[in-house]
Amino acid sequence: MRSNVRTHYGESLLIALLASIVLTQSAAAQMRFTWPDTTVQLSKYSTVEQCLAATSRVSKGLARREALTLWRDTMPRNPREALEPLPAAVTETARRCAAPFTEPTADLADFAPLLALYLYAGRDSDAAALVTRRLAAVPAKDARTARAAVSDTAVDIYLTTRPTRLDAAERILLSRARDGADRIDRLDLYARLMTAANDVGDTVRARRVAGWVVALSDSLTKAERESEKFEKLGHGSGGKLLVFGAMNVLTGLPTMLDSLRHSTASLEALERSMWARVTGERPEALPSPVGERAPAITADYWYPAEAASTPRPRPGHVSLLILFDHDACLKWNSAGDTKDTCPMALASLRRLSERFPTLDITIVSGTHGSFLYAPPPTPTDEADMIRKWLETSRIRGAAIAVSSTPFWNLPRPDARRIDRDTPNATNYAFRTSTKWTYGSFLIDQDGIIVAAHGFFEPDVGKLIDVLMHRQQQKEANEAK
Amino acid sequence: MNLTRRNLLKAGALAAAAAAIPRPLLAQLGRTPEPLPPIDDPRLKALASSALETARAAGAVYADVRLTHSRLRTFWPVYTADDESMEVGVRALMDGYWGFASGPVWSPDEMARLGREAVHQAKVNALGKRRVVELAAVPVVASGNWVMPVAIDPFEISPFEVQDFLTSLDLYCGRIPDSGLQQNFAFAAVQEKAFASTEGSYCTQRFYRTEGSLIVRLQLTKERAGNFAVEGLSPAGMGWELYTAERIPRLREHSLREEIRRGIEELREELLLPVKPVDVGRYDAVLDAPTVASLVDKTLGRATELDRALGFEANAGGTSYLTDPFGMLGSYQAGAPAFTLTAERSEPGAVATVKWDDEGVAPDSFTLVKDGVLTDFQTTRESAGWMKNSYAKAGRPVRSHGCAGAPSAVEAPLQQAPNLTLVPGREAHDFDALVSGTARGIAIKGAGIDMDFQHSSGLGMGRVFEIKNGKRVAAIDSAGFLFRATELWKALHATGGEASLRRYGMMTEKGEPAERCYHSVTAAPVVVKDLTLIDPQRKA
Amino acid sequence: MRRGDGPARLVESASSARILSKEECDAIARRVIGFARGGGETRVRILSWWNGELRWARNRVSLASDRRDIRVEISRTVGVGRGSVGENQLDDASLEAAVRGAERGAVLSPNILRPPPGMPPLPHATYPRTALWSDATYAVTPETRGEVARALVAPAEAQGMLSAGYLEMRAGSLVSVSSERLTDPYAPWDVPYASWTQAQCSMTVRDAQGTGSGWAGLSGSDWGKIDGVALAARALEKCKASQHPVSLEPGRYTVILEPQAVADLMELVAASMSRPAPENSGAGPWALAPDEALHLWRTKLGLKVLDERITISHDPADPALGILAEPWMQPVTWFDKGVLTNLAFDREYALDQLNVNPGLRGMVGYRMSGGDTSIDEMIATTARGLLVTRFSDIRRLDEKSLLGTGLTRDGLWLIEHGKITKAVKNFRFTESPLFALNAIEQLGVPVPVFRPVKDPYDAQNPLTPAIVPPLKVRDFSFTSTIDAI
Repeated sequence: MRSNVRTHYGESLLIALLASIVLTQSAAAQMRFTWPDTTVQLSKYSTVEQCLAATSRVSKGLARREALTLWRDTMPRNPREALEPLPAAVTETARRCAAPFTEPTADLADFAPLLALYLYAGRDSDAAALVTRRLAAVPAKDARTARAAVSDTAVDIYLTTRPTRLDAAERILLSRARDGADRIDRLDLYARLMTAANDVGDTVRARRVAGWVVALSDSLTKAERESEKFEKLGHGSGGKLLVFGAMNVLTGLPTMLDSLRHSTASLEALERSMWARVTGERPEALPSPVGERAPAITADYWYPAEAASTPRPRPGHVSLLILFDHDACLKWNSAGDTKDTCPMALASLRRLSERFPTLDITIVSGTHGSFLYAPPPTPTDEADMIRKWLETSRIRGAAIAVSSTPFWNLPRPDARRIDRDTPNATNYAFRTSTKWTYGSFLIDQDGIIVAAHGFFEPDVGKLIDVLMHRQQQKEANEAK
Repeated sequence: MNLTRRNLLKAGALAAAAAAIPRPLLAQLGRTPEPLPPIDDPRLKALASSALETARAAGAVYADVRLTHSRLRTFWPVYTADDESMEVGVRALMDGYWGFASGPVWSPDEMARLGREAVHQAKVNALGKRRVVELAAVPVVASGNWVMPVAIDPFEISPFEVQDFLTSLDLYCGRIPDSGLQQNFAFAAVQEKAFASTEGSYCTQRFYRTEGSLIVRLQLTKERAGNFAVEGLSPAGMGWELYTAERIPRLREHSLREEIRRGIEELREELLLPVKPVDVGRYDAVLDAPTVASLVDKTLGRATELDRALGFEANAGGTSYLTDPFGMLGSYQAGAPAFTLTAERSEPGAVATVKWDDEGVAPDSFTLVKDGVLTDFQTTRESAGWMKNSYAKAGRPVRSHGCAGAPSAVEAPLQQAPNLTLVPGREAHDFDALVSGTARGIAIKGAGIDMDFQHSSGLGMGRVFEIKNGKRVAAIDSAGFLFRATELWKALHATGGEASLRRYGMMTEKGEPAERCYHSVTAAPVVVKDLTLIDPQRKA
Repeated sequence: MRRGDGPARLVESASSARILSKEECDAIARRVIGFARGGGETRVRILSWWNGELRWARNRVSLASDRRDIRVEISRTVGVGRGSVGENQLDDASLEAAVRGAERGAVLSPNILRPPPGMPPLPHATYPRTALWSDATYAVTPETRGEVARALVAPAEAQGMLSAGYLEMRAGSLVSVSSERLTDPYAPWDVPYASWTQAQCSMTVRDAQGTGSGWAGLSGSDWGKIDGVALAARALEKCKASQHPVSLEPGRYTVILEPQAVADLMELVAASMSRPAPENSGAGPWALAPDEALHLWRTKLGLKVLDERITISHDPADPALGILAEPWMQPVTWFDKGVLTNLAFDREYALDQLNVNPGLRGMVGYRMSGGDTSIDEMIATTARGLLVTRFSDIRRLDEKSLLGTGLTRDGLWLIEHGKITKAVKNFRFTESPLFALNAIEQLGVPVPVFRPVKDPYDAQNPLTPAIVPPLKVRDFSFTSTIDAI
């Protein structure tokens, strides 16, 4: 599970910083023109926010310049990215601008943005001193709640600034534990630390913190479990899924892969027992289609045409079904600008297709009566446009299955189009209310669903690997 | 880019130039176009003179010419947009009729064409009935140059600095719970103007105008939400210091950051007040400074434009309730004895401030209403001439008050509003003090004012509160007030003190074709008696 | 100007072309595009305008002018950003420096635009011809304007009244092209060269004591259709008839709204005619109710919202309703016999929500249906009511009901037992056009009204014609008396 939490000032910075790297050498022909020498006198800046603004601007500038020649979002994700130091220009800006702010004299009213600034400037010891000073300065009334709030802010900042400070965040969370404040807030923070650690491949820490999550979850009262706050955890996906995610981390990917190596049914049983373990519900209540037989994909238009003659998912193959709609990815405006927001997903699919030539990829889509700025296409034309767009991603051997989405229109003259579910959307909803119009399903050679999630490769690749090996083992055993 | 020391030094030297759009515009001063010279370059005088010579040769008894070079820059937190233009306009007087011609090209050929065309326009109307124009005398400015003093030229600083500042306001606002910035951009304009007349005047000036829109929204709950515009960013004759200064007298007492914080606190308190419906009736009303500034501006500010009072705007914005300007001068009771309204174009930081107006007149400070009595009108050289007899009777010289102006040289000069100031009260009261001193009544904040086309009666709508025992105890929903200009100012009961004066930049539209010019209005909060409160949405 | 430095014709002599021709604009666009460095797309928008103006007050011309200007907006999309600058000079050095400025802006801009591969080809737009240009307007000389002004003033002066007014003839041109498509076929966001003329004539006649005021005015593309003398006669007549008005109690009255008054009130409607955005779909006067099942708001499209005798439409081919052409412009009916039939939407909405092409512009120009009852007949059949010349200073009070407030101006009369009996002091009204257009008693013949575009730099909609009938409406709400004459 990927953490999506942002702080207010972290947000734009985070998006920019994720993209910024040291500029690579590139062909002269591709450098269009030099950047303006528009120097800013950082010594004139008197507020913390100005320094953060300058730091963010420099970072975005580097990202823009890099985007002239390098499209990061089509490259494999670097799991350790969040731990890497910021470009020198960014740190230097933060450092120079932050010089007038010192410990222990800086104004505590600026606590949150100043903490972020110290971290961008690489002044971790000052950051720690600031946190200590701020915690000590809470008013005596409601001290515990106030300290918890300060800790939460600090953890949030430690996790969202770059490089991410997992040690410092963990330390604060441990001390916050002693405060014993609102437990669901604490659960949320533990989960965020766990996710941050997991994302950078720090599995030791991730498992440790996952243990805290599960332990704290076990101790929740019925009232807490049924509270609205618990339901809103994990950005609305709910507390149960959050804790289940921790259980996944605690169990560890190797154990789950081992289980899958044995059989899909084993993995299913393991997941169901994990669900029962952390939620107290029946194993059958697991909100995942793992273990279900994957319904056949239907389509009105198949590419290549011969793909229509084979049922998808293909028996005997490991299959990856991607449910994908072009209007989620392709954006345009009336000035004629178009933008694709899904290159990361498509590039990772391409890499999977190259790594696993026998992996059967089917991209499942539906028509909407429009494709970007083109005048309204017929379903046939639209399917063709979808194909042309997807083919540029060079996903090897992928079949494209486009359904002519059934729809109706509000009565004239309103006439707005209301889409109905395609058969694929209905079939792949299973017992949840989630309509899987965007998502991917990994299916084993026997046509059983192994996993349903997003596109990011590390886990999917490993699962596919296990399935492939399982098949090889099976074939080897049969040969004997 | 490698931030080596050498690069940084080089960058510093180039920063100012590099930050600006490269000087794109050319003027043809001699035979061939060359880069735009500074406005006080003597060759521009020759160019201007050639237009006047042509006009005179074609028969003008008086002609003047304006050349303007304008640059606009809009700053958003992430982007900066630039606009630049050159204009020239020639005005000619012949047989009591004015002609005007203008265009975008500065060249000897164009000067000649415009000079001839301006006279041509005057001539074809001079065929009509007789018309007399007496231009009030003005001292010749043989050669003058003035640059509006600003602390930080907004066109010379790095746009990045501005962007960082605007972004920092956004970040700061985001720290405060329930709040966010709804609008955040700044705007700077610089105009260089050269003026020459057949009377031998030649002067050059540079003006700045900086303004910003910073609107903060507060959402406490779904129902309780509101927004406010941060004080002190209405158009000003200032530079970027409008944003960065820690305090600016008459604009704001604190930094912008602090103004945001205080504004949010105040709005939060107001949003938490109980809400009551309108109880139509007459009330003692405490009006805050921006409301008073708008009221002053739209009543007497417009009514004392002499050309308007004599019907020259009748087909456009309307007329004036000072229906007999010459008869009313010195006797008309426009307001209470405590009401004094002055005008000038010299206040530092005000947006109509100039050294010379668009007729080469150095504006003076004058009093429109003294102790409640109408004492003067806003004038140009021509309209000052109409006041000849009135001034003679009062023993005053016949001179233009210097109110001629136009947005750029492509528009003809009209009488535009100067800076106005409502003289403050003697006691050091501010808005809160005036509220405290009111046992029962209403308080009105930030009202927009709609006047009728004679500027005599109006409708105001803003945030209205019930006052009980010196405190604002409730917000009154959907309230407005009706007033008649003279009744309103006669009912003036108390005026805030010097320290509570605030200055606001206003934009007015006047003329056919419509011209938009700026001026500042300085006012303090006031108490007026018997203000009529209504529900503006109630039908008959 | 050096030879080769742009259109010398614009400045060489008084008889030179006052606006830029298509050829001149094409040449400028090519020069601008030639200066671009670093690849990417260049957009050039060129506006030119000329005004011939004559203003008078107190029966004498106060100023006559010949003015012109240009606006060039250059936008450069390079790599991942877009920057734009505006300026008004046509010589090489200025244009080149502006291009450099736009490129700098592109470098600094935040937009990371990256068109993906495999995109469908751009659709090519067709633009219908619309009646924008009139030689009659363009040909009016300063001499003619002067003669006209004298003719308009003379009757008022002869009767001891003071006339103030304004005559303006304007010509303008606009083009917006891209380096990728300098000529036909254009993309839907290009604007192929268009030129237009606008003429306006209006006057206010007042008596010397300021006890009465009358107004008349008309605007349109064709000066030949504007009878200034008739307007002047009407303004004078209204002035005389409006002298020494009496005070009347505010309240609800039957009103006879002259076409100008109807058009003034209709501005509240014209400004509200867009489909609400999906994310804010409860906004505006046309939202009906939320539909929980479908997660959208139902609208009043298809419902009868006005009197069935009201049809408001626009036909691009109508010679009296020429507006700037939009791609694939079609005739449109906004209200069909009182039923709300169309609301404006942009091209994205069209393709995404409706699966149609193209978008639909708002009520830029419109024709409103009427009847054949003359104003005199309306008066004769009114037991008690008010005759309104026009409204002024209208402000919207409520976006859902379109309740507005404003003032009557330049002529308000009481009608009793079928006759005009008194001039009445002006009122402030508080009323909604939607309410008024549901309380119609009689309709008259639609005529063109005064609805000029004031700002010559405004080229988004350089002409906004309207043809509007007089209406008799009951229960119109006047909420207070004002002193203004």
